[in-house]
Amino acid sequence: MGKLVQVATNTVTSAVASVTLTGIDSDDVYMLTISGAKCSENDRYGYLRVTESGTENSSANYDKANKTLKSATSLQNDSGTNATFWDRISSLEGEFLTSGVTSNAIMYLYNMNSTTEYAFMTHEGVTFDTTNGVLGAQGGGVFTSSGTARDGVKFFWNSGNVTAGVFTLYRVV
Amino acid sequence: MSNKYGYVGKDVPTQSFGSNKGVLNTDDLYELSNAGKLTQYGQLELIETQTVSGTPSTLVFNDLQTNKYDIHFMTISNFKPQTDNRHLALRYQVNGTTTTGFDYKYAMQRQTASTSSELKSGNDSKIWLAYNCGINQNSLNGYIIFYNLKSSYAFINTHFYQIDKDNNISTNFQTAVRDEIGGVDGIEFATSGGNLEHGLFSLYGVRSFK
Repeated sequence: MGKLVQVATNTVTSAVASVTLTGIDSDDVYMLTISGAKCSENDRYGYLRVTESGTENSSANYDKANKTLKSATSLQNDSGTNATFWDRISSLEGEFLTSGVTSNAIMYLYNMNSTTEYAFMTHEGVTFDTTNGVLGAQGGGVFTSSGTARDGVKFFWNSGNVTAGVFTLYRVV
Repeated sequence: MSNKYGYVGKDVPTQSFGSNKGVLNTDDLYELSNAGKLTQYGQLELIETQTVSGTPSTLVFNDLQTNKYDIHFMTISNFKPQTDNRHLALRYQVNGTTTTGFDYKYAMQRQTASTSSELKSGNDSKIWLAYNCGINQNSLNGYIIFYNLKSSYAFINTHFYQIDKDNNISTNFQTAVRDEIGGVDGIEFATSGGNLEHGLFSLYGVRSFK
C-alpha cells in the first residue's frame, strides 16, 4: 500500500530569507507542500532551487512551462529556459500584506536522487493577486543538469523574507 | 505526575515525531499518537469516504479535522448527476450553514476535444468543478486540494476528467477561493439542477508533524 512519508518540515513563524528542506536520498517521487506562506512584501514571486549536499544550485539550468490562472484577467502562458531558478512556485503577485492572504502549493519532484538524469517537477499553487482576484499557476519544470544527486529544495521570494508558512517534504512510497 | 515514557530520574529524553526514544508501552503509544509526537509514517490519512446513495440533493463532509490538517486532498470517482447536462458545484459550510453569498472566485482552463476555453468569475455563489456531466454519459473523475480551510482564505486547486454530453473527452484544471476568511466546517457538493446519482468521494488529510 502506498503512502506519504514525512522527510522534513519547517514552520516559519518569524522572518527568514529562505526555507531549505533536505533529506532526498532515494529514487522515489517526492512531494513538497507549501501551506500558508507569506512574504514581507506584496507582489512577489515564489522561487525554488534544488540543493546538492544541502547547498543550492544557482546555475542557469532551470526550464519551465506554466499556465497562469487568474479570475480577473485572461489566462496566460508562461515558459522559459536557462533561468537560475524555477519561478511562479506557490504564487506571483501575492497580496501578502493583507491579513489572511497566503500562498499555497503542492509540487512533485522526480529523479532528484539520480546522478545521470535531469530532475523534473510539476506544481500547482494558488493565492490572491494584487487586484484581489484568485490567482494560480500550474505547470512543470526541469533542471537540465546531471552528475550530482539533488538532496532537497530551497524556497525563497524574489524579494523580501518568508514570514509565515508550513513547508513539508514527503517521500511517496 | 508527568509521563516519562519508561524513563526515571532527570534528563528524560524529549519525545517528538522522528525522534522517539526508549521502550514505549501501549499507553505511551496512545498518548504520543494523540499528541502528534509518535513516529508513524503514512502522512496521507483517510478521514472519510462517502458513496452517493439514494439520489440526494447534496453531499456534505463535516468531519474536516482542521485542527490536524492544513492541507486536505479529495478524490472524486465515478460521479454522475441524476439528470443529463448538469454541472458539479462546490460550496463551503460555515457554522453548519451553507454559504450562498457571491464570494467565490475561480479561474479554470478547460480542454474539450480540440477546443480550449477559460472559465472565470470573481463573484459567483459556488465553485463549478466540471460542466455537462450526465447520467447517460461516462462518469466524472478528478481530485481537489484544499488549503487552510480553518485559518485563512480557503483556496483550492482542482483537476477533473470526463466524457461530456457530446461524447467528447474533457479535462480541466482550476484554482479557486472563497473570499472570506476561515471558519469552514463543511464541504458541500451539489449539481446545477436535480440530484446526485453516483459517485465515490474520499477526503484525506495531509499530515505534517511540526
